Amino acid sequence: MAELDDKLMQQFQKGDENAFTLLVRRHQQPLINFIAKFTGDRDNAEDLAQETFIRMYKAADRYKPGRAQFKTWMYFIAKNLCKNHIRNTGRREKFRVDNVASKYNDNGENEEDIDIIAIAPADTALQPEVAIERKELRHTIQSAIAELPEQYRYPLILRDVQGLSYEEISKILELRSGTTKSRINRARLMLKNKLKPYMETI
Amino acid sequence: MNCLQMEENFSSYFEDTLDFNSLQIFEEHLEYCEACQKEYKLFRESVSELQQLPQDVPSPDFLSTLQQQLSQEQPAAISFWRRLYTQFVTPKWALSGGFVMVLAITGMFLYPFNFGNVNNTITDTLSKTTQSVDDKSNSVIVEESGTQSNRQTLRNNQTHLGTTFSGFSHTVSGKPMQRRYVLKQVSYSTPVTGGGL
Repeated sequence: MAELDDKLMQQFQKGDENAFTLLVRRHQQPLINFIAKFTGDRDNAEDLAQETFIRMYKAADRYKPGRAQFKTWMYFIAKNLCKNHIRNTGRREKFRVDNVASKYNDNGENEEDIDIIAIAPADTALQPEVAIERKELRHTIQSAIAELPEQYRYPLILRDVQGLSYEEISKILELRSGTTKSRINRARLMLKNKLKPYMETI
Repeated sequence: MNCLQMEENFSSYFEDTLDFNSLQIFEEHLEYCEACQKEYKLFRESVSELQQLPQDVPSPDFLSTLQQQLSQEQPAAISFWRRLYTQFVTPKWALSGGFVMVLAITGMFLYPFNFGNVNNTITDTLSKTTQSVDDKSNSVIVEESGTQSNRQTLRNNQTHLGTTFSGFSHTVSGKPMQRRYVLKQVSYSTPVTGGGL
């Protein structure tokens, strides 16, 4: 995987534009997923992903194959863009949107929007179907992630959503391996505590 | 291992990375501690749910929009020299090549001072310069007999002219660079200039 990325980058550095397109095809989905999960803002995730690729395109001559992986470089840029985005847009408004789950009728039409965090632990009557439960659980998880402090949110998403190794995460976040491991464990414990009221009701 | 220490090891246990001893202690505790059983069950379910979150996928026009934007950007600013560097020169070769070049240039620069006709050059220069001094002061006769006699000549000359040669004593060691330094002093310290130049 990493070797193929390196080869494609080398080809691009020699002037082959198609090599960069291939790199985008390979990494667009995980990148958008990472940004959407991290910012909790699916609408802007694609814009931020595009900005990430544009920056990589412009800085391609500085990429040194073998020294850093394309993937870690990509997440490193995306992480900084996400930070700026969150700083500029503000968290509160975004999270309010995240906390809203939709309830659908039998025809798949949206009947009503529900604030999951507000109702989830107390009112089990609003969770009649398994499908809705699953959907709500996912929204609750997403909201819980969004509420985690940044220093815990990054490694948690990179590990459990993106499936990166501890070594890769350490490089992206510029942390020692031990720190990365302890932060991920801490983030998982925080997530567990946030989900506890909800999980105990289902 | 107490319950707090158990929590610190939840991830390692979940990912099966505990060493044998820690694993034994962890499982022993987990077997009798109901609170930890409950907490670990919640932990495992939370992480599993997190890992199963549906993936966000790009919209169909993501790539075409990106390509459109990239076409407005400058093509990857890769200079000719940069391309040459990445293509042909590995850092190791560059380092070795640079080292050889530095050696070669240093050698070329130092060659006249260390080898070849250095003695002749110095002797000739010394003779000519001292001769010049001698012509004007009429006090010393320069011979072509070598450095020692020249040095004596210079000493006489110094006494006669009343100038100070701070580097003179160093010429005794006979090092070429020091001799050259002395010669310069002598050449400018003539009775005409009065040692001022």
